[in-house]
Amino acid sequence: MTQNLVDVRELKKYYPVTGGIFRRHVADVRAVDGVDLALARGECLGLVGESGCGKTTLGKAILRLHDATAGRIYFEQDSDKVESVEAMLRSPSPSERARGRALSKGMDLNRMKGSALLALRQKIQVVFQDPTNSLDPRMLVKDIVAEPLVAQRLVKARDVEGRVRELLATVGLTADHLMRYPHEFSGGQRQRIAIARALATSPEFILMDEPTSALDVSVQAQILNLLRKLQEEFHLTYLFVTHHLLVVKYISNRIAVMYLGRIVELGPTAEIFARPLHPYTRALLSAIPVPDPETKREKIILSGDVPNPINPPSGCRFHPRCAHVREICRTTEPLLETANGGGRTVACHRWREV
Amino acid sequence: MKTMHPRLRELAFTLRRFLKNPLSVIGLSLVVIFGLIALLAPVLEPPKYADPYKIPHTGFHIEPSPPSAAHPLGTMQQQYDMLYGLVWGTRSAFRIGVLVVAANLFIGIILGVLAGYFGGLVDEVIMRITDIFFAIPFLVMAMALVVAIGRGLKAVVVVLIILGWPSYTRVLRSDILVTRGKDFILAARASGASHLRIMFTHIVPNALYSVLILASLNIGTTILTAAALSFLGLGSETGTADWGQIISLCRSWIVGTPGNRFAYWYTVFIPGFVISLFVLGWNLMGDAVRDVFDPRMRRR
Repeated sequence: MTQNLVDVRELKKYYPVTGGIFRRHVADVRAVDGVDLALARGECLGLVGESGCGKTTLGKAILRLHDATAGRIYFEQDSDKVESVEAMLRSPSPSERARGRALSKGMDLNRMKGSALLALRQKIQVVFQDPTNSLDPRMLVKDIVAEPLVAQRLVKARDVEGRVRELLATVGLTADHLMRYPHEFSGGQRQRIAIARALATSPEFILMDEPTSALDVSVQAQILNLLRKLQEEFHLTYLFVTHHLLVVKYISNRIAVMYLGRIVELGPTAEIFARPLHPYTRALLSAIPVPDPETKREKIILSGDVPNPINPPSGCRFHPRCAHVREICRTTEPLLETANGGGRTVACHRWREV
Repeated sequence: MKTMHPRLRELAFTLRRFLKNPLSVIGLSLVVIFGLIALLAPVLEPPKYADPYKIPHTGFHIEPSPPSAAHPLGTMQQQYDMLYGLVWGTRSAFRIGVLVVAANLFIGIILGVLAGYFGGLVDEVIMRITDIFFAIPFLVMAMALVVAIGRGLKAVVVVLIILGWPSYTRVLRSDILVTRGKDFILAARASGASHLRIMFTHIVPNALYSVLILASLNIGTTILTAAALSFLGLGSETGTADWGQIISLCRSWIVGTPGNRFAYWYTVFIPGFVISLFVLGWNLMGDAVRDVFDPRMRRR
């Protein structure tokens, strides 16, 4: 039985825009607009893209912190079953599609409720960007770290403290820190507390929502090393959301590049850094500073801003800012296609030429 | 210090901050002094009648008399003793202030939590009701309601309870909305915490400060409003030990006699001074509570 730990299909998250005194629905902000993404057990997938491209929205939908508008999220489901259900959903016959929908109901994280969802909360956890915001300022560290255990009644009351001590030790804090408030810690230590909380339920998948962006550079490296160590120790799977490309290069096995609610390129980290195929990925990578003043490198400066996700451009979403634009880019939306083998995919009409 | 429980440590820190500011100390002292007067009223001024809130009066002579050995702070119209009235009036003030504000807090917090938690229609209904309360001038509404219920101190208290809660509800609701968007709420949801747990262990404890600050500021204001209603003749019966009533008894003597404008200065100055001190004490306390509790002013 092969399985992907997380398998996201055609995920969409639209935020309705209402207008007028009757709050009529006038438009949608298409934050995530049809994303397919699969994570193998034990890997770290880096999800990069500029602010507002939908990477955090995608992560939060997987966590069910908000409900996706459409699409399926399979968690720990057998690949063959997933494929057969997906095939049914794509089939032209309506009865077949209905059957697919009924079958996917029990498998789709996006439609789970109550105790089934609660059971999954044990396996899916999150570390947020800013630990000053993600830790309740009025709670003691021991209560913060114990919260998932207590809320889901996973551990007997008298065993909670022992488990919390164990967790703090895992992230490099000591029992002295149990009876303190978050404001008594440095940024790096706070992030360690947040990581300890995420580990409390022994999860399999952790969403890392820019976990190092709010920290000092020197502390970032420590936290990254800790995350790497934990991943090996507990066989964790990370979805690492960030806009910091070097962080992703250090920690990820694969990279997915998002632009305006869509994934435009996906592949192994080393290959993407060596030979980016999508023009947007190239522009992103060319923006990484090189610590050598002698090196002359070609910097690709994109013109304009990210288009409005309420009304994305026709055809390829990147075409208004792309240097290699042709007529087909304006009219036809490119789909993700396999490129160069080795598990690389790219959504560009002209990746072979440019 | 090291072995102290962190909650105690926080409390000690808060108290130290509180006592560092001279204004807070003044406010606290004023409130404590008034509290002692209210507590010790039976010792300071032993009651003359079965109902201690009835001010004793010697004779029915209409003209107030100045301070003397028998009446250290003078008498009011119809020879009611000023000192007795003020001492037992302090007790009334505490009873009215604390009762009204506690009831306001209770109603305000429940409705604020409901509005902030459920949102949607519940929120809309509760907020529009508060809008109605805010749209009508407070004192006018209070007078109308007191007259409708039937005059007296009890009616004043009931009306202040009915009218006082909307500001608490509003403040709490908006703080709940702010707190609800914080990442630690999302983290709690990802931890599998139930809605009730999130509400009462995360949102309410973090959103309650402004309301508590408002409450401590409002005790003084409540007394002023109650006094205003009594002054207008809508509150307690003549001769009751209640500050508003005392001012009401003295209001004909504000101007004095044609030759001597300040002939009856004690009838205006003494009760006015006492009420001002009381309100000032609570206001300074409220400011201090805000300085100490406001998380933004607390620490970085």
